[in-house]
Amino acid sequence: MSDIAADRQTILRGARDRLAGFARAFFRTPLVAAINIAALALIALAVPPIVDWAILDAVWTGATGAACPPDAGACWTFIAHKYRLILFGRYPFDEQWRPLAATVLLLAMTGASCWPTFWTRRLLAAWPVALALYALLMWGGVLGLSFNPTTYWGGLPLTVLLSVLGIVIGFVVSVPVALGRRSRMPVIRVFCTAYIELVRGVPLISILFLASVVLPLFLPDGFTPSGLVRVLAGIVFFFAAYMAEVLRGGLQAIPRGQYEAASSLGLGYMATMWKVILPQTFELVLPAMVNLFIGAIKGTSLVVIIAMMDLLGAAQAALADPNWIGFYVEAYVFAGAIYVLLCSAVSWYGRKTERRLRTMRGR
Amino acid sequence: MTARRFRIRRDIVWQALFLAAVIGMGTLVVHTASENLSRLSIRSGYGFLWDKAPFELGESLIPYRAGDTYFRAFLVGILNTLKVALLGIVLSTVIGTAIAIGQLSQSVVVARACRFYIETVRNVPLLLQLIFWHTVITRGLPPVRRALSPVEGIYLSNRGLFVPALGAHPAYGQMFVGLLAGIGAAALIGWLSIRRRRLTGAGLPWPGLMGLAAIVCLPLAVFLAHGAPVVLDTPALKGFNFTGGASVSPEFAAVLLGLTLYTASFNAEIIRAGILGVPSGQMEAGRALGLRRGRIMRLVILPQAMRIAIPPLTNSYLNLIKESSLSVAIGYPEVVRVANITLSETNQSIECVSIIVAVYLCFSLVTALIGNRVNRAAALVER
Amino acid sequence: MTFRHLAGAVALAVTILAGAMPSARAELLDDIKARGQLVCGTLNYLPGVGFLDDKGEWSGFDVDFCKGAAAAILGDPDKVEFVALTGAQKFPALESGEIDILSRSVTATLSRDSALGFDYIGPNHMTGQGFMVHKALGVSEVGDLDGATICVLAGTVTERYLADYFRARGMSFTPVAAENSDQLYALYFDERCDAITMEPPYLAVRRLRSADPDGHVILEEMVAKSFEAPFIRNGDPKFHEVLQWMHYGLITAEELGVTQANVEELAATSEDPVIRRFLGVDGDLGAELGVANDWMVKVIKAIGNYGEFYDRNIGKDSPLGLPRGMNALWRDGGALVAPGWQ
Repeated sequence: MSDIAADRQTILRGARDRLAGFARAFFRTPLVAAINIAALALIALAVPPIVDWAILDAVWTGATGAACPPDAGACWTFIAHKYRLILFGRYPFDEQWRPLAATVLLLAMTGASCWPTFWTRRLLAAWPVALALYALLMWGGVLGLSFNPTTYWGGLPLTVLLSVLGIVIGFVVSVPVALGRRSRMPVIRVFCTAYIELVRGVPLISILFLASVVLPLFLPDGFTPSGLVRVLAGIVFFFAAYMAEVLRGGLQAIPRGQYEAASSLGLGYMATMWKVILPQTFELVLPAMVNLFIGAIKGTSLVVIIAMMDLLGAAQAALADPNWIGFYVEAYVFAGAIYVLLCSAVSWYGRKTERRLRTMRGR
Repeated sequence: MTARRFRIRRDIVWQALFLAAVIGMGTLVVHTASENLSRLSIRSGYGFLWDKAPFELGESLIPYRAGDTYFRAFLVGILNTLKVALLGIVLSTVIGTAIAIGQLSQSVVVARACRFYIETVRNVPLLLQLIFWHTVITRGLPPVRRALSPVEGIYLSNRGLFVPALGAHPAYGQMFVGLLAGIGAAALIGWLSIRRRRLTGAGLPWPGLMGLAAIVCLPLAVFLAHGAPVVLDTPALKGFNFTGGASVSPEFAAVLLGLTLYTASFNAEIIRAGILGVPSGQMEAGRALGLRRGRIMRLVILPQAMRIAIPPLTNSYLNLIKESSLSVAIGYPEVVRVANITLSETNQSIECVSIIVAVYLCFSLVTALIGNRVNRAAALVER
Repeated sequence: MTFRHLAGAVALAVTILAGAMPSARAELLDDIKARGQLVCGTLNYLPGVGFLDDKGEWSGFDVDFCKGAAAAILGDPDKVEFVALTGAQKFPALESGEIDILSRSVTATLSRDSALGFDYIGPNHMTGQGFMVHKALGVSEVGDLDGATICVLAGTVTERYLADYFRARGMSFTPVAAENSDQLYALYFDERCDAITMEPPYLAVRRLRSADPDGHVILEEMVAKSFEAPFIRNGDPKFHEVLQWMHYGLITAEELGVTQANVEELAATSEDPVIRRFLGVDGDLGAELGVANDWMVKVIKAIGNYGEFYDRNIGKDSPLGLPRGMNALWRDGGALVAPGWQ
């Protein structure tokens, strides 16, 4: 009995202490208190109308745009009717469980690969299986699943696919490029430097135009990879250069003693890099890399300019229905919220890993 | 053979193979391309730049009409890009600094609010923000014939903001010259003052005030000499749209708003890192000298913070310039849009995309060079 | 030393091989038959013309043409893969070989035929470039639009025609461009621009579906012809012939009264020599073109004759309800003609 009472006392006291601390911070000096109160007043002016619009006055049910009069709040019934279009694009309606399952699988594999506890040989073996399963689910054509070419893929699955593959393949490509930039062989060094500096100097949209409009001219007649593959190549081409630059910063910070110690142990170039240098580099550059990953996720939204229907493109398509005119705030807020969710998750992961690495290294 | 000579020979072999592979692929690619182009009877070369461009552009800093050359059209696009980029750089730095200081404020509410702003704006793609602002402006503001007019002469509609501008009058040109002269005089006064302080320990009396007086009084004198002419070009609704005055188009406003708010959130993080990078002893020393927090911030912390922040800020400005290319999605006539129209008209896709690439490479190079100069000038001179 | 010589020899060999790659190109018709599928570039957002709905079904005038072509060459209208393209992508995709046919309501012009290296079929949809204006502006003819703000679709030939027309008459205008027509019409209806320029049929459709159909006027005047046609690459004469005669076949079918409903019955039972020749019962006209003799039966079965094909997608049997206008048979006062079928 007294234990429970004691626990309750502790909890209450803890809460009171936290409140007292907060109040102290709030009213630290008269000036600070005044600023806080003024800021709160501003927020009180701005937030209630938003809450009114978004929740209290909002329309939650209805079959057409007529159900949401102009003076009412947000028209969430629009989202209720259109969320499948926004999330899955033009994938055949009855088969949308396939991209859903495929995307969940891909996200699960990516999530698992982020926890060191899962870094076993089985995970490495699981990736090709997962990718094959993904291809099977999305493309179909066998096992009684109907065939859906890549032109039907859209919405959130397309965003996730482009982001994950773009980041992974880009990372794999960026390692030799970063090493090549630091190579002692002048030809390779010049080539890698030229590639990195050129790509970093131009916007992503121009690389995507190059990939979708100009690249087919450079390929032999009849051999034209699908638009999806070309766009993916463009994204990889672009982000590999940025990742290579970030890796270079990390490589520069590795003390020369590491190289000397490795060679004194008789390790060749590949072994040194793979076992000694690169692991340390990855740790060092992780925060910057996470920023690049977030940039890649946001960068996939540009494919709407070359007529691919990713999440943003699907939101725009949802707005084109003549039965639902003018609910652009709802549509863009919905799409924006999904992006914030994705990017915040990656950002949270980056912060967590950074903290863990810092405590591990004792810095 | 020594180990070193063997290694050099092996390097040469690797490089030769690499070069061979690159050249082999290169010739293959060029060969295929020229074949494809001739099969499709597409012209090659940049001669098209001197043909007449059969399209109009929504806004331009230099006079442009359909029938001018493609080259002039590209020039219009480049100037429009520069316009939005320069304004975006300045505004995003100012707003970013304010938010950075806000985040470090002692006021819990302000700090949390700034943090919320940064986290939200950073995680939403810029393209979505641009499209959102453009839709808000074109759908939210009233149409031209029902324009909002808070003050006579200022009109806000979904076709743009129209404000009165100075009309044509010889006095204004001379006033501008006077302004330049005044700025020159102020710079001269400042330089003289610094020199005098270095030599004698005491500068000119009231150099700031004298400089300000020069900047204000010279143009004012010209103005009064002409009899204080006030010739305003007020916008008026004639026919389809407002004519006269100066205007800001919805596309430009949307691009500027989206770019500025987005880049400001990144700049705020950079500047905050810069401020936190200044040793805390500086703040304490300032307080020991009896300065208030605001003055310490302005005179001691911020200049040093800027020094730390210049390289990442340069990078951020580079990103801003490159991301202004997204405004093609909302119809702002910058370089990418001009290249797109030209591509549809002439079908010379390789040349048009190469122009985009070349233009942005130039921008990047110039910005990086300026950033490096500023960085070096601001670097600590260690003796 | 020998190592280096070997490396140099390898490099030289690779370079020589690279330059000497042969580049033969077979006739596209044979390629398509070997491949078993036709690739068609089109629109995906304009109902009645080229539309991909929420359920993943393709429909529309341009879409049906490709289905007909697949029926003609491969015997099955579903053996076609559709690729959605923007205005800027449409020609590069055709040039590069990514698509076989560009069926995207593209206007046929001289330079597109010659300098850009394409051929067109037909044209199969004849219209012009007109304007829709807000009625409140009191504009009755194009000349009144001097100084107006006009919405145009980026990457289309309408930008050029508009600029040329206004420049020739010393008029000026301010363009507002959007990348796809949904965005464009949204800008027009929000009064971002005073007028919008496009082919009158599409303007009529959008006006009907707008919030205030009576508040907009479609001007009678047209500033340019706009004959739309499917496009293919230069240099595939057999493919061109098949498609061109398929177009003529659709017209001939309507002349002869062959419809989607009665084509198979006619093929089996008709005694009329003209119809028998047309449907491939007599003669080897199909084989001469390189397709099956009963190819017109397959085509008509798949998409109907020209009248059915037009009415179902954009004519009186569709929500768009556009009149045939110039797209009627010559004997009905339109401009569609087809040479004799023998």
